[in-house]
Amino acid sequence: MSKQMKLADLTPGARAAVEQKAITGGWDGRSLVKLLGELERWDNMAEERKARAKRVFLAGVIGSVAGFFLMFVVSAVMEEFLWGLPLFLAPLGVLFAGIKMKKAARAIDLPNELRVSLRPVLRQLSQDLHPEEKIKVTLNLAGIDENKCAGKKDLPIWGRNRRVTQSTYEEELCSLRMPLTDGGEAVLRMENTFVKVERSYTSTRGKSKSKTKWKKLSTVTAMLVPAVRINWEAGRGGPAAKRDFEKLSFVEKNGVMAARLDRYYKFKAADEAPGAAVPGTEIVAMFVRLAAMRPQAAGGAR
Amino acid sequence: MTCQWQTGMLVMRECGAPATAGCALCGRALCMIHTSMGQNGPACPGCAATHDGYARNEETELAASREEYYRPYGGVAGYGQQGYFSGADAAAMNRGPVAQRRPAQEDDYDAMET
Repeated sequence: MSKQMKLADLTPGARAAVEQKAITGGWDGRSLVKLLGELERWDNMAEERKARAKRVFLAGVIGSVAGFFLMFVVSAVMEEFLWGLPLFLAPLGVLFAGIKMKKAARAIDLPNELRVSLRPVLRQLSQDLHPEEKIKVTLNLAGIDENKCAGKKDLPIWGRNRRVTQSTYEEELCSLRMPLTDGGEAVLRMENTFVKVERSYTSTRGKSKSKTKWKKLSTVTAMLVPAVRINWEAGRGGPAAKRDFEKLSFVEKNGVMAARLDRYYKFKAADEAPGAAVPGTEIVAMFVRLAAMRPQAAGGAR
Repeated sequence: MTCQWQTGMLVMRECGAPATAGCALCGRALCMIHTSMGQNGPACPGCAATHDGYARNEETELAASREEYYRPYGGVAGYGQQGYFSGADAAAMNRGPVAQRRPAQEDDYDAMET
């Protein structure tokens, strides 16, 4: 069913989100979960298309290489070069089709954080959301744009490397301000930094080769802003934060003290930007950890 | 009598809807929405999630995941008991079923700004 999904099949809100690659403004919890559900189906369809495009592309690559040699064999047997030519040109056509399909699939793809991180969080916190208040949403669905490089530098060369270049791309994924039923506010912000390292080197056989590696550094910030001034009991927030992985801080906001937890994640992949995302359960656990640090009278843990 | 099931993940509060049954396992008064029927009789989402013979639904899933999230902090069992928060506690924190929110902030307010 999802294979036939088209832009016209989406509701106007979802269609606008896919076309503009962004969701902004005030949303009530239910509508936002519904919208994200629809976008999740769209993204699943995009993932299927990406997988299919990859298969076509690989078939094209293998076919082209095999066809290239077969072309000479068949031409020699038939004593006519034209007989062998289609054996190379046909898979080459498949290869180009694969490249085109890949580009098209990438254009409609949405960040995986949408279904892996955000939707589960909103579903789990659905009962905490204030029924009459809107969630302020700024969601960037554009994904990484390789034309907008935040910084590029050459790294020191070692071994057989001829050139090592590191490019950095920034992505401000989302900012959600969720009003809670107790008058407080839960704030979620996610940012990604993509690091691409391109390495060109000379192999042991003297050939020039190149390799690309990607790293995705994700920062998730969860913040609880209480409705009234409370004394946070940091000792109840579980074991002390590990400095490399997370940072716990308390900040003054409009006369109340808010608790903020930043957590850092790293994902790696070769050839293309990592698709992995921070699981929604981790983000809910961050909020629960902050909630547990409230005094009992304010709803904190025992 | 009102439903004593505690809803919410971060802001836990009693459901408050009119009770129509009681949990056969923990004795809480329950509304229709929070009653799961199973082999031991009516049960609250928390008991239904931890006992066999009850169908899983959104409420039981939420209850199970909430218990899991709060386990490192002593669990949520205490929240389920009536009178866990005294009236004085609630008054001190200005907590109600759904509290009035503070006046709207200015548009340029950035909650994340430090």
